[in-house]
Amino acid sequence: MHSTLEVKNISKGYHNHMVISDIAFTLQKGEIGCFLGPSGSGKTTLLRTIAGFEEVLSGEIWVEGSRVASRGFSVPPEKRHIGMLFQDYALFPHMTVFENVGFGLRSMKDLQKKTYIMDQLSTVGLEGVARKYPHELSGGQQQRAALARALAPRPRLLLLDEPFSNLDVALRERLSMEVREIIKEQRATALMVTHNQQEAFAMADRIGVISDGSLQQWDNAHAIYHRPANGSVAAFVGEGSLLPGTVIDNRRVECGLGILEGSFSSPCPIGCSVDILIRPEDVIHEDDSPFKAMIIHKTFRGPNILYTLRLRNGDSVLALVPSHHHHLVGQEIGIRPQVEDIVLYTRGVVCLTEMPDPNRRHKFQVHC
Amino acid sequence: MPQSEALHRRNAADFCYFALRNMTQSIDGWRVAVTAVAGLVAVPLLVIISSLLRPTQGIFDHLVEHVLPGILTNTAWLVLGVSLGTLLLGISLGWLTGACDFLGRKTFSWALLLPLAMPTYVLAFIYLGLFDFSGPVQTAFRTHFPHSGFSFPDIRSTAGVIVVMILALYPYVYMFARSAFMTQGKSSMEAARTLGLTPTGTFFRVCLPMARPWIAGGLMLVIMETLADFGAVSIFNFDTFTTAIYKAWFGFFSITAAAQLSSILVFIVFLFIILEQLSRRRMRYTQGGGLGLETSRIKLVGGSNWAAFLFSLSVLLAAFVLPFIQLLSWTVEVFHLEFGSRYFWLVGKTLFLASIAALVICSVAIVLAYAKRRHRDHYTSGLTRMATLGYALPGTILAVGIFIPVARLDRVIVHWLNSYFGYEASTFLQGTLIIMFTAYLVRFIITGFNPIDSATQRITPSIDEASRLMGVKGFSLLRRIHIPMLRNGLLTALILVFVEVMKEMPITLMTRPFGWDTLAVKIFELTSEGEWERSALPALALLLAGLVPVILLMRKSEK
Repeated sequence: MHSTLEVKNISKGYHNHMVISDIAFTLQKGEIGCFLGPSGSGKTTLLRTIAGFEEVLSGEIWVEGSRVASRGFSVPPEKRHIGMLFQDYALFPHMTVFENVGFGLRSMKDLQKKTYIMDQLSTVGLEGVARKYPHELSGGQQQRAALARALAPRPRLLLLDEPFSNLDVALRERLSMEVREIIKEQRATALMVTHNQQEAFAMADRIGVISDGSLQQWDNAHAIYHRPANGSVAAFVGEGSLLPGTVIDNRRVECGLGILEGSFSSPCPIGCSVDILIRPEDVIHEDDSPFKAMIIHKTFRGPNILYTLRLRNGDSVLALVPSHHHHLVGQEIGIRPQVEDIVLYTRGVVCLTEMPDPNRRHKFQVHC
Repeated sequence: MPQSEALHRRNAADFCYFALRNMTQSIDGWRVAVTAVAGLVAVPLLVIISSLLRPTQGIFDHLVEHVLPGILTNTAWLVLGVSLGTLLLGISLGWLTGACDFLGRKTFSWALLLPLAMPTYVLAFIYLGLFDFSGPVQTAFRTHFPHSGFSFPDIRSTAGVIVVMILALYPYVYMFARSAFMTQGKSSMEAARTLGLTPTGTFFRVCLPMARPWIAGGLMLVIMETLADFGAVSIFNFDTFTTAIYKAWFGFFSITAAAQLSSILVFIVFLFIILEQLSRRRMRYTQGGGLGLETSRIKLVGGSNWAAFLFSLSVLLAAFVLPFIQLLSWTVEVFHLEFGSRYFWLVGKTLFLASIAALVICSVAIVLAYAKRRHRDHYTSGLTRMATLGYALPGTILAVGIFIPVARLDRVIVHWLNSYFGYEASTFLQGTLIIMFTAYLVRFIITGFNPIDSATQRITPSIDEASRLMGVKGFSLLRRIHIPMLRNGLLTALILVFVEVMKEMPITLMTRPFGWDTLAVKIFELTSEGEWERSALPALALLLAGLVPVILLMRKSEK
């Protein structure tokens, strides 16, 4: 059994600037993958390369066990059987919703085609607007029409380019769940890109964090959040702070929050200087705790309050506290760190993953 | 280090690969086509400017001494008067129909665009006919008040021609000002009111300054039309550059002197082109924001309601309704005398020329729009803009600037044909329609390009990609996606160019081959003999044709 999509160390770019470099991952049948990264990180280019609109400079792309792209070789997009949901939907304005969805179906007989299209429309809940034109639909309806069109030819892989960015926030959350259900129902394999982590968490089975054109981590949502592979993933996903500290032994580390004990995300030699990732929910507020910190900023968030605290040694951490614990800026409150898995990155020792190249932007990966 | 050397070598190979690919990609049919059309604009300009260096046996000195001061003053007065008048009418009517509500506002807001259908020269001869000493107005006045002693000011004056041109051209300012007032949103007006400005203060300190780039854009069109006008000024015997160029060529038979006069006009036009491009740029930055005024129009009541109504009505009467009625009544008078088989020929030729020109021009416009779509670089967009700048060049200049190089080319071709094939004739290109069509192309390409370009912009790259992913590409992509999506834009372009060519006067007059008279040329010939009544029939035909694009425009602005 082959993976639906296998991307082997692809790079793309121009002689002095790599848009994506050395990206490798696999996606199994029925999985939804998601690339998460800031704008300009190369994630859309990656998607367009998989679709076949761009060529790779090196590396290979395999779809269901056959090679579709390598250096100097590219199966044309229409021969790849890949569907795509575009950011602007790209619905054909002169065709009805029905005609749009039927556009990619050519080998079907008319009658069969008609029932099939109506079936597709009813799975996305658009059977009532089949005869309407795209401009007569709401944004959410347009998106679902585009989804139905992309899924109708039963593509081997569905690509989604920032599928929710044109919708308002309230609609986004609901639609991302709906779209996930539709994709799962049709047993399609999908890969999307977004800069919004909530969308990625809501939609994806596997998430890839991408920055400066390289893949930082390819894992499930839980691991991305709780065990980020490096500082840049930790900084991009979720909130938190990196506290400087020193390793005491193989389970304990000392930092501004005192001595923390737990299993390390990666083994570190004793005495090694490290950065420890502290998430806001790792800092528990307890009025009678002897350990005090001063509030320097607070943000009310409804169910809870996000406090920015200054520790005794001058470092600061974030603490997420239920919102009935109401304190003023400048007050000192008692806190207690609660960390079982300690995520830490060695400071100062930077191991290069590849040859430094003066023409490329430097890319470091941190590990012990 | 071997690894870095290998990497370096690979980079060098990549560099060569991409450099080569860039080079071969940059020379392609689309870019060549855009460059060629831009060249059609550049060549006449270069020919005209370089003509300043050529001798003319004293004709130009004569013109500089005796003609130039007069036409410079006339042009200055004309531009100044028409600008002020169109601004006054355009802004006030734009504000009334765009931001206020008064009796008949909805009707006026489209009806005030109707004068766009009337070629300036048609309005000019109607006014001359109406207000001449022997015209109906003065005659009626003399019959009713035989002893009043009041004498009418001469309509054949600077003021007369200015008034006529204001009435014909104010819709440009009106159209832009109105849409600016309508789109600028009520939030900025409300902000001004909360900051303590009165409604009048708000108009002068917020709304008018915000609409300035649009108004400037409309005004620039008015000025270009004024500088380019040939028909109206020649009917009024009011000498400007365009009439002087015509007389230099067809009176003194010195095309070089005509070119030299043109070069001065070119400099004036260029000044305004630069101003126009600047105003357009600012239009982009200040656009949008806030809700439309539709819900919060200023309701005019009592006296101001009636004043607004009467003002709008009198402009509409003066600029369109009365001239239209006069035209109809003249047509009825002369119809049985004038109408005959000659007219079928005339109309047939006009329609034929306009259709062929529309087809040629729109085909070129499609090429330009596709080139711009395929190459989103500075080279292509810059040249596309240059290729569509010809609308600013007066027809008289284009006629001269294209005739000269074609005539020179013709001499070379004839010489060549003569020496190799024994071809015995003095001309090859001259006497064909080629000069006229080239001039039409340069002047009206933007008319065809704009609707086609906005249609092609709707075909986003992702639409192409979406259909490609579903296996539709090449000719099938063109047939199933592009042609249906372009159809309306193309149709609009064809109609607009068709009507423009029909109404065109100076290019046709100066470059038509023998026997190729159009309705506009007929009007020129009849009006130069003062035959107003007989001019009415062809003028009415042009007016009716001219209504088609105005209706298209109204429908577009309603959306």
